[in-house]
Amino acid sequence: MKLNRLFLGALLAGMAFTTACTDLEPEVGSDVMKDDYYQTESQFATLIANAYSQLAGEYGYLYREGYWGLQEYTSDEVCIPTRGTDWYDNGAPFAMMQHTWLENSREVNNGWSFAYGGVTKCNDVLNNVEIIKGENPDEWDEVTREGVAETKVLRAFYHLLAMDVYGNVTIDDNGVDKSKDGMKQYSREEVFNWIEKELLDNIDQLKRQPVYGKMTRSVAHMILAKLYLNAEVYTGTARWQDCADQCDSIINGGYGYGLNTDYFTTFKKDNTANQEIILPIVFDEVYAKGNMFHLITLHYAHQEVYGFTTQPWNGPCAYGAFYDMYDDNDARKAQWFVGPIVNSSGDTVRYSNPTLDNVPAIITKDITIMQDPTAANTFEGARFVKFEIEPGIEHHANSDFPIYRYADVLMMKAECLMRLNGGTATGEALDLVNQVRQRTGLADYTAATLNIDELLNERGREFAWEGHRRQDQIRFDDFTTRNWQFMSARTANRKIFPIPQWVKDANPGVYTQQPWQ
Amino acid sequence: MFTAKRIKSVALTALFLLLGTAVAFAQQVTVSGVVTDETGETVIGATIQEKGTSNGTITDFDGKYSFTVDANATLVFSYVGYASQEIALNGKTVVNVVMTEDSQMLAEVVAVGYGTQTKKEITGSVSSVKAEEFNKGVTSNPMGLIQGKVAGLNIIKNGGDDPAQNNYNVQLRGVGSLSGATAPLYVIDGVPGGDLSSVLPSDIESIDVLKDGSAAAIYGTRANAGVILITTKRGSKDGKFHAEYNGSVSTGVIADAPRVLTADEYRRLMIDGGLGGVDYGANTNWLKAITRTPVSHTHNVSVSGGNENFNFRASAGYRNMQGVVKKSDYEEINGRFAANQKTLNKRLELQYDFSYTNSNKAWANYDNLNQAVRSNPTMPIYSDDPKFDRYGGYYESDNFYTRNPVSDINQTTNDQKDQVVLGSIRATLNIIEGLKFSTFYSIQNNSTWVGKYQASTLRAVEGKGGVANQSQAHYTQQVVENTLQYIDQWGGHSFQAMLGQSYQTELSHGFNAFNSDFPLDKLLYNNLGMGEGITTGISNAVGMGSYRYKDKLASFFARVMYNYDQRYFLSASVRMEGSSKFGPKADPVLGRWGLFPSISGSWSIKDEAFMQDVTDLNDLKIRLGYGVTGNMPSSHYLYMMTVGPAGDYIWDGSSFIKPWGPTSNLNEEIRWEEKHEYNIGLDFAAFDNRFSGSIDGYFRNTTDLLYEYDVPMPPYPFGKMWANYGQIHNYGIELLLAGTPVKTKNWTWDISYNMAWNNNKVVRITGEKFGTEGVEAFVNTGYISSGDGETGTYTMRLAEGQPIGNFYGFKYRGINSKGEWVFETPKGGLTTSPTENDRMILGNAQPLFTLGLSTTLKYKEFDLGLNFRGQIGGLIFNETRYFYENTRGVENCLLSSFEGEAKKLTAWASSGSETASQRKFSDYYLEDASYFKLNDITIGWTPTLPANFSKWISYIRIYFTAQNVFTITSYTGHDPANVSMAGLTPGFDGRSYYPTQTGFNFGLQFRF
Repeated sequence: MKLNRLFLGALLAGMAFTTACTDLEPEVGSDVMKDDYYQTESQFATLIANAYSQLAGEYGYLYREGYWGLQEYTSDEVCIPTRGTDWYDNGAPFAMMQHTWLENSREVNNGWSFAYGGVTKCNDVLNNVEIIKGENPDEWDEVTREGVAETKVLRAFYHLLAMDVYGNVTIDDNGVDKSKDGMKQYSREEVFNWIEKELLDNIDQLKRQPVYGKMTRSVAHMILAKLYLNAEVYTGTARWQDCADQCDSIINGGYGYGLNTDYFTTFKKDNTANQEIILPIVFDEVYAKGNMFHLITLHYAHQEVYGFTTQPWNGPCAYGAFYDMYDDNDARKAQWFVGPIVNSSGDTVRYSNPTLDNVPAIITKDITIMQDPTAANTFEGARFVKFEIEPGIEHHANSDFPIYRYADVLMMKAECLMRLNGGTATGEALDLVNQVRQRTGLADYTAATLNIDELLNERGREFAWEGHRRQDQIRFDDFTTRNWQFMSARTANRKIFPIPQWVKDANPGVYTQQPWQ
Repeated sequence: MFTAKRIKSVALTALFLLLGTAVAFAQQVTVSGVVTDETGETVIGATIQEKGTSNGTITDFDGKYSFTVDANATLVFSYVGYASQEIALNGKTVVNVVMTEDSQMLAEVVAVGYGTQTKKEITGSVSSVKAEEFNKGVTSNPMGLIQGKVAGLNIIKNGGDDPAQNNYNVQLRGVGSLSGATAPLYVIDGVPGGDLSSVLPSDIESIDVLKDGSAAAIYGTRANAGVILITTKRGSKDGKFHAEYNGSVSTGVIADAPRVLTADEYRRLMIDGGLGGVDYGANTNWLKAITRTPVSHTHNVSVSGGNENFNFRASAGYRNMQGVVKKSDYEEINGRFAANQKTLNKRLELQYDFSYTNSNKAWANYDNLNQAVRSNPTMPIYSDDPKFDRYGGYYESDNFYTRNPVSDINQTTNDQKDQVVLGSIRATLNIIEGLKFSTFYSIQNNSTWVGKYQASTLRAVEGKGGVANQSQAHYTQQVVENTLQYIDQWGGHSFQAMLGQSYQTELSHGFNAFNSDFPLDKLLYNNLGMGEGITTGISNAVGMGSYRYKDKLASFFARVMYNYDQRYFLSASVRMEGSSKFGPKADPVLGRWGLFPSISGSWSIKDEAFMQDVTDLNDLKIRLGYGVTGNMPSSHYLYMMTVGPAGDYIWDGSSFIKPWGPTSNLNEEIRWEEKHEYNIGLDFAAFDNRFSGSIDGYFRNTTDLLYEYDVPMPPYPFGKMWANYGQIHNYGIELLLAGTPVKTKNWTWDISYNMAWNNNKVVRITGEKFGTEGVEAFVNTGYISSGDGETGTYTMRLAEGQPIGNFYGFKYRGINSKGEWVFETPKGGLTTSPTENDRMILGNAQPLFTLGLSTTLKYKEFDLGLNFRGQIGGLIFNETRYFYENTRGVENCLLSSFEGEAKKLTAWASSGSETASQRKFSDYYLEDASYFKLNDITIGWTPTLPANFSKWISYIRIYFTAQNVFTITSYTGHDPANVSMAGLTPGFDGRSYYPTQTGFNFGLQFRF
């Protein structure tokens, strides 16, 4: 029958069609598969760059609710009063300020993600280098060898950041083995030793000539110096001489570092590749956002004065006592804003909120109340204006943030010399500190005026809000032994933060918590 | 089989021979009588036929008949809408007959996917809702028609009564997925994944819901959340031309709004009461300022005609709907054409379907409703103060988080245009009797265009100089499907088999572009290139993007259905399905492919001999089923390693370069979620089918749940990873009862009731696979979004061994005289300074029962219909109260801040500790979710038309519908019926919302 033949034909056609209709190969349109990338030199550069990306950005090293918050909110130089409902944040800043943090505190959680996010990014880079360039290092070109060395040094640096805040942590030096048994907790000393070894093993493979923003030889010396500086805190064994030697490597290494004659030059909007900066986070209002000091610290009323496109947040400021540490003649005192907020016509800006009606906006140095639902404390606390305030910008400033700068090298070496000299300043130590102090307009220190306590104060004045204060206070045994405003010292165990609860949950049996309460 | 068939034909032949013999010796008599219906009324025009002949007559105006037949004849009495009866004369010459209304119930045809079955043959759990049972009034999407109609199917409209938002949140038999709310698979006239907005509610004939796994398994990897089959109306076959118009005009008022302080109350209670606050001198009702009295209208026209060999139906609809909030609108034009054709000696059947939908939407910003609550009522809307020139003359609060909602509405344009084109053709060839081959092709095209402009003087985009955005999205879905179907019957055996293959592709692509800093606001989003923002690059509000994805789905499926003597039914199906979303490692054996079998059976007890004496019982049937279904990830390339730009630019010593890295942890084993479901059901009907019902019990075990699980970081580069691991159990009971308590000549009263109970348990969300065995496993959810300088807090916790929707926070015990919160600690003590460890389970959001009640009452030409729905139990978190039932909010607050317990909080200002009086999430803000709502009430009049009139118009109906008439509830928020109980955060009633309205519709319907 004709119809049956028709049907037969249709059936055969249908079957042929069916074979075509089992095609399930993915068709990728706008996604990039790994195998299609990292082929050209410029693509390879983006791979190495990713290892650094953890440091950058609003949520990187400088994240106020993350790593920076751990180092600074907890110290005697940052206070975050609640003004109205602003900055209460469910008590998160108070937990930092008052040393009542928990295993799931915001900054505690974010700090871990930050440090180990960096570690895993480095591992991803290293794994991919092996896939792309082959597993045999002898066959690598110069660029690859340098890329691997700098990534390893960067990985060690991320471990240092983690070890500094959490104590006994893990070492992730491969990243390939994802099995659950892969992770192990090491003592702070073991981590210390591993970091030291990684740095020493790789330092010679690094570029000698400093490349701003990258891990080069001088930066590795600086990381080693910081590691040795705090060795006693980390391992119980002081390494002052090793620290001093590393500082010497930088001072005498011909890297081109030097002190700026004006303290504020280091913090200008165009400070990129400034001679005083050793390791920066390079910020830019368009490309590399994240320097938000002006936004978090300035008062709402500053918007009008500076023509910011976004209203500042009126948040962290200095404690009155910290502000008072600055002599009126100290040029560095200008890194704090206190007094009337004056507009371009010379008039004091007026401000209203539900409690204050059209009052003149005048910032005062003392914080009278930590938590004020009426926001009557809106003007209290000195504001941090060390970095150049750029009129007209939005959220993000252009000035780079110095993680490490040359003044610190001198101050560190001076400290080591004093420590090795039983806490008394040697002539060389005085000379080093006075080099840094010279630009402040204050009289030079003498052996009589520079004792260990004064050195801590001077470090505070010099490096305020640069992310060193907690570490310094711990090293000078000042962090858990003294009360400051709104903070009554708790236990010495508060020198470390707990391993976050979520990390312990995700790694049962791996982490034993050191005493931290 | 062939033997059986031969036997059958021999038997039939013998029967005809016997009948023929009987006729030859027949003797003629005249038979007469009266035909009446159950109410005693005579039936005019009933047909009486002598069985096996063409001899027949019809009843006259008095219901009488008389004609000559063979003395041994059997008479067949029939009338439309009534069950036909056969009566053997056996010597009688007067036969009076009482016709009973035909219960179509068991003969009713139900769509089951790749075919239909009669209700009697159904072995799974399938709910069918016919057009006449739909909810009344204006619904923006077909799901509104069956809201509250199907036990176990929870339907909640997203976005209140926002006319632009026509999506419903549909959830069947509890939450069975962790990766967010999953929607059922919609199959529109055979097109799987068809777009609901392509169908006008007035074009729908029936909606069938495949509830259990055994019914849904034929749809494989997309059937976990159930399958909803929508069948549209088709052409008439009676050789006549039909036309129909149906139109309505409607308006509405806000059903419920938060009661905030008026300006006078604000001055008296806040300012004079010493609680702070500033008097700005004006009296503003912010809610009133942003709302209006909407006027909407809808018009539908349809024509249909044809005969058995060719028939068609064409319809067109127009809808113009206004929302109660200003500048929220919806306009739609919809056209549909459906035709059926038989050719090649009726051996080839062709079915064509085509629809086109074009809609324009204007979107409201839901935050404006929140702003209307919080804005200070003494604040003016406009101001002449030059200070506000930069805001276009709109007054703006000093509070950073308060925005003038009138300014936002007037200075924002947010438009959307959508087009959906859906066409399909099906060719069915009857090869030999009982064997059919069918091929089907469909294509659906969706295009969406969005244009948004925020004026330069709008505070939300201050300093950006106006922000414009346009985006386009295109989606094309194509389905090719071939099925072979065989039906046979022999003896008491009835057998059906179906074999099929399907291949589907989905292509999505689109782009968007933003620009800012426009020299003037007048052009809106129409000239994107004119903005300076893209050049200066400083503002965040510039950028562009595009995407393209393609998914493929291939399947083979088979089903056999068998029954013996219409008493024992058995059905089994299997689908093998593969997807490009899965990699070769998805299944250890089948790779990209999955296997989804099902088996079900039923036993019609009523048809057993021992039940024949129970005459009051019309139906009694037990069903049992088991089926496996799946749920696909929504992401396209989850199993592949993708890389992309990661984070901010990095300075490489001389320039900024963009770092690239992995975008997520890699998991090559990504597969579908899998559900194993057991269903047991009982159907019954009694008292001449006037009372019927069914009860279903089910157990669903959903495994391999996709979720972004916590993994150790390090060694994983990211702390979360998509994987198939979790497990959820849902079990429940569904009850459906329907009855016709009254049925007389003038009165009919129908009532139907459904009720569902579902219990849900998270069995596993963490474990060995991620090295997290033995840890108390939970995930915090339900975050209160930040605002007012707060980071926010979570309100819910998802934990193993617990149902989804547990609220987790502090246990409220009172407010002390100092205005401080007093909470209970887990050890039973009291505290005013609770810590994280003082949080506990506060109850569950999911309701115990959901229910629906529908009733219609007809009296002569009048009809009255009511649809109720409700839920019993469950909790809702009232976020509006959390934020605004508190006088320490610096702006406006709810009047209830000065009532009851809340009033005590006002004491904080004079005596309390700051921290202890601040708002904290506790069960103080949880409220009973129970409600009972009159969804709609309709009064209709269908006048009997005079004979000379009815030549032109055969039918007129005038009706009035009120929607969302009242809600009985203790809930103090907006509308408990509008709070989603689906997904991972059920019962969360956010403060940014679109109100529901009480609607009033006046409608007219007539047919030619």
